[in-house]
Amino acid sequence: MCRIKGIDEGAELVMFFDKKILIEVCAPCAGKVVYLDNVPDPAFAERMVGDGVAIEPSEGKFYSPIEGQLEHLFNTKHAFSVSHGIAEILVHVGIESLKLEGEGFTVVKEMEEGTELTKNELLMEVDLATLKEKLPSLNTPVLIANYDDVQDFKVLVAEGSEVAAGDKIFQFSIRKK
Amino acid sequence: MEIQEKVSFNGKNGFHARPAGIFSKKAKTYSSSITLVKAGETPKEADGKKLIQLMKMDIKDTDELYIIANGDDAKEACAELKELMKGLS
Repeated sequence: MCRIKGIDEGAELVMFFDKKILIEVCAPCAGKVVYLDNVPDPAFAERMVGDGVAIEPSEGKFYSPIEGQLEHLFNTKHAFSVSHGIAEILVHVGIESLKLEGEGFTVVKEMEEGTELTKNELLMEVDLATLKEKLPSLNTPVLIANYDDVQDFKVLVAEGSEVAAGDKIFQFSIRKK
Repeated sequence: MEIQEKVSFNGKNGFHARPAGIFSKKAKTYSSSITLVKAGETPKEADGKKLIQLMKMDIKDTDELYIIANGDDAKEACAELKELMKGLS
């Protein structure tokens, strides 16, 4: 907040500057962009879990989509979330991948809740062949889980475009505390 | 007004992204605070409006669960979320 004395005597002009931090979320893997509307699971297509975009992975290496702290890695390794301030980014590798109970997922980064992660740091290797055989889709939604807490959400990639891991896919801003 | 309700969850695959997403989205429609509590040896609780917190609870269909709602619409919130929870899988 910045307080400026007004021109008129006694008048006071109070100005509030929005202190925002822009957060750019990167593709956690290489692959093709799929908009959430086209993900074959209503929970994602209808934004029940959050807003973002999905990637159809072409390689099995998965990286941190933002700089932040590991918020949660599921027992079954099929999904993880990374937080930065109030923002929580969830990466859900494949559709109905919970059923694999960890098969095909190898976590390569030693991490626990709170571990600091750098953007585009390698976290896990996934056997895409196994997933392809057993899952309805490899679509990997990358989501801002607490969508209601952020502003200026914007998708930065076109449906069907190819991305490399680390390419920016969407952005939003959060208020600085 | 604080209301507490025992609830059951029947999803065989646990309280994963889909059920937790549906639950938190509904929970956000109430002005009351919503807390989901897992009883047992290692009790856990989460803000019912926060998806990741809910998923971190690692809820199984065998868990003893309670919803605690606190606020003006606590009664409706508890009743409706209880009903919603029953149907999630």
